[in-house]
Amino acid sequence: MICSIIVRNKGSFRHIAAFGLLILLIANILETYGKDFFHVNTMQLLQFDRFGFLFNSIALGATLIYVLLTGKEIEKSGKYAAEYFTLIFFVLCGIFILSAYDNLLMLFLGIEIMSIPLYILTGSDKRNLKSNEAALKYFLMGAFSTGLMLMGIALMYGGTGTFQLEVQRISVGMYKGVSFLEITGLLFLMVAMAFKVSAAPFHFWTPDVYDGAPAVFTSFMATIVKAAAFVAFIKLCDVRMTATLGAIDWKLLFALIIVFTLLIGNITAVFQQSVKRMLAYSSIAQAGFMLFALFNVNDVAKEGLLLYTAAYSLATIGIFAILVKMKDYTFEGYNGLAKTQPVLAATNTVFLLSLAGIPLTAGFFAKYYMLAAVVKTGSYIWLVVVGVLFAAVSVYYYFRVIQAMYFRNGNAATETITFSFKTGLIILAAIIILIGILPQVLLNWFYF
Amino acid sequence: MILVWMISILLTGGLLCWLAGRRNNELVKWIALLTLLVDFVLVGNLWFQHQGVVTSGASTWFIDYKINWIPSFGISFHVAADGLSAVMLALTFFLGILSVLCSWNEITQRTGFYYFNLLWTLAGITGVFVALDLFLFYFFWEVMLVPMYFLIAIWGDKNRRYAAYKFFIFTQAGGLLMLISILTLYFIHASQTGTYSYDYFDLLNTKPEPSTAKWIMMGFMIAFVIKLPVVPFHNWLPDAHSEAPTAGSLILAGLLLKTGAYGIIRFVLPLFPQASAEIAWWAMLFGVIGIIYGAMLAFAQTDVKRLIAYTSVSHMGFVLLGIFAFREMAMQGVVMQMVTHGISTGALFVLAGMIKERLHTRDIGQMGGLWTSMPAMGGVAMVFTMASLGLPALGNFVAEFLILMGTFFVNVPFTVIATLGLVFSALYSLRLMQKVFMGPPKEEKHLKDFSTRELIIMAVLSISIVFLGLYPQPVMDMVKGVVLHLTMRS
Repeated sequence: MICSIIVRNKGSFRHIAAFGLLILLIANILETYGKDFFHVNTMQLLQFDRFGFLFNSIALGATLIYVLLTGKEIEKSGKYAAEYFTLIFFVLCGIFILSAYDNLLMLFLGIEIMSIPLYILTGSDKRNLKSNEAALKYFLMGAFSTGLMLMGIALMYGGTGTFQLEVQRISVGMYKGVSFLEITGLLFLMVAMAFKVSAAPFHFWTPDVYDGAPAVFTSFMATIVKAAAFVAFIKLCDVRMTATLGAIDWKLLFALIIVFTLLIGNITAVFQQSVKRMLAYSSIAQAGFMLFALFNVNDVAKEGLLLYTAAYSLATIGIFAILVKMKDYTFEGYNGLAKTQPVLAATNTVFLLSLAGIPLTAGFFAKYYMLAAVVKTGSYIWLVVVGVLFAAVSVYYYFRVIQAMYFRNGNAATETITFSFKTGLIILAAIIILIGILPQVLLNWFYF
Repeated sequence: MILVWMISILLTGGLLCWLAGRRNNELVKWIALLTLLVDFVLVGNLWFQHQGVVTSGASTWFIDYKINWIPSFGISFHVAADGLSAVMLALTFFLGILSVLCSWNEITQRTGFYYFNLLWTLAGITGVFVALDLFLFYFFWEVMLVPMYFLIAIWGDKNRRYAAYKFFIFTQAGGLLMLISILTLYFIHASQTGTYSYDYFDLLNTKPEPSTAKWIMMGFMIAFVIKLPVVPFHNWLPDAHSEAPTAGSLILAGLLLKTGAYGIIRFVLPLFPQASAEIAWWAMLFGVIGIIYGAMLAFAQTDVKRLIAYTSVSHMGFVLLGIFAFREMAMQGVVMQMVTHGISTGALFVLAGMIKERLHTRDIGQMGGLWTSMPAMGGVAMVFTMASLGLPALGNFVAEFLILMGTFFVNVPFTVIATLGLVFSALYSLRLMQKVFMGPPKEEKHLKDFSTRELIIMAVLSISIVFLGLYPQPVMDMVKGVVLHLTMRS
């Protein structure tokens, strides 16, 4: 199943890429409803379930929109346009593995397939020092974290004797079978995953990499890739966390990570001068919110995470698509955009409101789900309180962009904006509002 | 269904304004005015139709409309109206019409977008006053926020961005805390009965543990007391009120503050009777502090609009005091206070706006002797400052008197202190009057008195405040059933 994806990735122009994505999307949706074309025996390495399929659809849909909106910019960002698309397809391939892995080795493979092309994409702007720095930083940090992950997997193997995600425990006498090795391994794994989703205190690479990489690729990294890491993480938490750490109060640790992530993401975002860097920190803050889903894995949380990834990805892709068109990435660069490009400003406002979680947008229901997932259990309400207070803080920096666009005078310089680009943005904004009014549209698939 | 119509008329009216704003600015104003007039007629019709029903006291709800919205979570579009809602709706559309009239000439830029925001804020407020699904309630609570933010941030005064931010973040933080409480209540209800529902009537039967109930109630309370505002959370109010355009101040003071009081009456008391009885003493204490503190700060202001804003803090202290007395009389007074404060403070803000249009300042120090050139305005201003200090025969007197009477049975010291607040209010009101309208004129410049449009606005407001002062019975009859129901429960 997955193989068919790799075959297609030789598209050299964005149209072919978009077309390929469309076909994949259709194929994926068909498979969701049980019409598969050919069957591959995955030897229990991969397991395809509804959750994974739905996420794949979201990832594909988001990538499709991404390519349609910013395809031209991808071509412009360096000499090897075709290769960039190829790399994006490789990343997608990694994402599909992550959404379906059933074996820790596959998890490792998926993460690697996803990450390595990203290192290259980050450094694709060869003559830019910042881009190079970012790539190197990303690579070193990323390599280190994968090292930890591999170490963790090895330890877990040592503890349980299998790579499978779900362990059949045989109780031998008094000994129930959770060894010290296994716990340590799981902690290593957790750290590595926290690194990938840029949760504090493993977030330090994020601002530099997101800021240094060409904006088009930041957009991709900050949305679809991050969402995929979350999907992998939630699966790990779902199956393994309580099984292994049962007696240990890991939730407190997790809660601290969430608070820390929210704190750093939100507070630092407030002080940024560049919209791009602000978005990098805001993505950390958003990650803090998505972590709520992992905190307490239940149906609400899973659905919520899907909705959150969709809402967050769509909005962020839109914002970045506009950002790429801007000549100046600072807040001042947006001054007076409402006058020069009313459509851009209006759609950008919708995207920002969605990120801030204001009703009538998809972001509101996404946040709602996250909160509901934790509130449902009745414990750790204080964590939710902290969460919403930071959500109120986040309003400040999202609204700064809106203020710049609408209330300040200036001449926001943009590249030439085509009609189709505007239409794309309007459709994207419409989707976000539609999900904001009727979230069932997306979620009905889940129940189906 | 008529309630749904009211909201959708406002929403479509807003969109029409936005569209029409590209071509014709005159048309926009008429569309906005017409929209609100239609709604006002609808609510008036509602009032007369159901007056008999309300006074007979069979059921307090006379309109109830419910359709599913997101059935899988038990979220429904449930709107209903009882006497209290009807009074608040009437006030909403009444002040809405005036807010359109008073921004007739003030707003010259982006007129279409302005009226769009105005109407959408009003739609949100309308929704808040009729929503009976807690999720829907939260939804409208937020919907009224964003357009208001734009109103302040685009058409406000010099410091508008700061004020708009502050307003938004304060209310948003409160709103989100309320959301947590709503969610908690929702899940507790689900664990007790097995069905997921946000419906008001379902949640009324939920009995959380007393200790939990207290915390859940605090979440609701914090959202409402920020809106009301009660003293430690009043910080956003002076900035927002003074920087907003005239219509914005009118809506803020006249309607948005009332949503806080409405929320307490509608949700906090019925949902958590026991927990609210427990905090009653504290709430009344904060009410009293608000009365005195607001009055003192009002006295110290040099900016007309800030002064009026602080009087709101003081007057809303009475509301809090009255609600937590749990007496029929006090509760009647609270509803009266909500209506009359909306009218009187709204009128003062409109006057301040008119003065600013003429003098281009809000500084009291630069005014003085305005009576000579504008006798009509002076006279009207006199009426409303008197109303605000609680002169008999004007609406506010009735309200404050009822509240004080009601609380006297409950807590004598608090009532005494609150009555002292009335003395303070005389101080700041008279100071306002004296500095602005009396004394020797500062400038020899000739200032125009009321235009016809302004005269209509002020005449309507004056008539209504006098009417409510002399014959408050219609309002009291309307809310009687609700009030009795409430005080009997607790």
